Amino acid sequence: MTATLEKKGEAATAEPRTQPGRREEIDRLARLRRPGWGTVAGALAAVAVLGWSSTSSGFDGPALVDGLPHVADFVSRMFPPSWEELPVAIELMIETLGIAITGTVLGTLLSIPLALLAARNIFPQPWIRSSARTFINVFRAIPELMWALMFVASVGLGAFAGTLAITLGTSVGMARLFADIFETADMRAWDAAAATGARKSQRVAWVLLPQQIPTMASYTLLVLDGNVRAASLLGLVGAGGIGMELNQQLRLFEYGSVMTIVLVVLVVIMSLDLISSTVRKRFV
Amino acid sequence: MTVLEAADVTFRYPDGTQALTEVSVRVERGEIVAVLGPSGAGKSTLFKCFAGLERPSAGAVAVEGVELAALHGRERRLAQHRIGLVFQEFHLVGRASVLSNVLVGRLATANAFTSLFHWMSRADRTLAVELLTRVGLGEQVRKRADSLSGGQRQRVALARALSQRPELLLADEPVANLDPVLAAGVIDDIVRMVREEGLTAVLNLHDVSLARRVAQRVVGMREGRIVFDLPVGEVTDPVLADLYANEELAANAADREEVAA
Repeated sequence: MTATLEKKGEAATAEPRTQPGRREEIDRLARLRRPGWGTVAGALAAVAVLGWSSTSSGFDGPALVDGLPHVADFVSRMFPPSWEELPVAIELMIETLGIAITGTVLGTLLSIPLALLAARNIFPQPWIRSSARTFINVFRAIPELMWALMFVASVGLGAFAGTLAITLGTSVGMARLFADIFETADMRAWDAAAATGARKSQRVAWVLLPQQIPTMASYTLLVLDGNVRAASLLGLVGAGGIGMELNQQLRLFEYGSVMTIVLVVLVVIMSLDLISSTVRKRFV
Repeated sequence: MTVLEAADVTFRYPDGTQALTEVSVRVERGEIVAVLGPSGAGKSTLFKCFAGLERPSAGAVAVEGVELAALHGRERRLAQHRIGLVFQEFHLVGRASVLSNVLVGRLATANAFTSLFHWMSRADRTLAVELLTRVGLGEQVRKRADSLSGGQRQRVALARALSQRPELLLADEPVANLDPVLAAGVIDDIVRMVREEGLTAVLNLHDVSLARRVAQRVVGMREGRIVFDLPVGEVTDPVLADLYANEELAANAADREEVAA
């Protein structure tokens, strides 16, 4: 112990006497690094992609400036909001919430078995995991609005098509999230349960889910938020909810009604956000 | 009658580390055996081989004449069910209730379908509560496992192992995470329950005084080999000094290296 202390004292006094070779090494490491060729090329490529995407996106500065008066005109015509529209907007918002909540609940329930198959620590067999992950990734790549279009074509116009679209989108989206949550789970209690002779399904019900349900519930609320937004738009393709009415009022140039609809959506989504963040804080 | 028999068990980890070299032990029914040794002696690996969690690279482990490593599926689960395990870090479901943690030990023989909904038979629930009461946790049955103290958690884990109605109880450093006063209490509880249930037990311990206090027989291990296997009365201070001798040398060497660095 004393030897260690002595050694430290010695090191402190020895510092100024750094050997010349060491000095150079320190200078070299302290110097600013010159960017490598790869970095320069990468930066140029990023600028090029940005330039290309702004032309192909039709971004037009002057048009935006010219259009500002029209935007102001459009906004001014939205006032005052039309209160006759309010009962209709509220009724459709309830339908929208119905679509979002039903879709989230069904989707979450469906996502759990899918997530279990995709989690390496639950099913270590590579072929199970990779087929589940591929399935999830393929279905996740298709946006909910496209699913809605397809379901409208197959089950007809209305809320049912929207609910199916949200259910499908949620189940694959959540499956991915849950699989990642399961893979990072603490497996000690799982292994202990396995050593008692419990089946895998029993371990899921008694160990894995009880451990993970707060995190899963917190993500579910977050996804519900997103699903209410998505369900508000589904009406644009005829899949029920408030979007259908919004589309119609826009076409009729009834901007007062449009404003009412936007306000209802705003209030609902903001209060949902508030509720879900309060609830989520209690979970985690 | 022999409950546990290990014959020339050698274990090599995939990285090439040889953890056990030709370990042979035999434990008779009703015996309480402590396995002692410095850390890195291979006690935990031996525990895993006994429990069927690891398969020996060579040699065989048989519990009640059945070689666990050779079994699969349902037979394996039912054989595992006959061995209760207690781990150093408890391995409980923290967010679940104490009762639910103990009921995990009854799953292997419960209805495969209804148990998924946490529906367990009255007999299973009664057994779990009875065991919890006997380890002094009658008041904590409905509490969350992570709200308990370390000593209480290990008692929950003990109740879980006992709820399996095992023949053999294996414990790997069950009190290494607890302070000495609590540790003695938990070890006493483990041994009391083992006696009351008429079980056979093998306890991995690193605390010599605890081992002497509860075991009838002590197996000393060092560097993956058995150094001695003696009734507790014959485990004298020189024998123990010999077991830990090299460890002190190694510790001294490490100190010297630290100074030199």
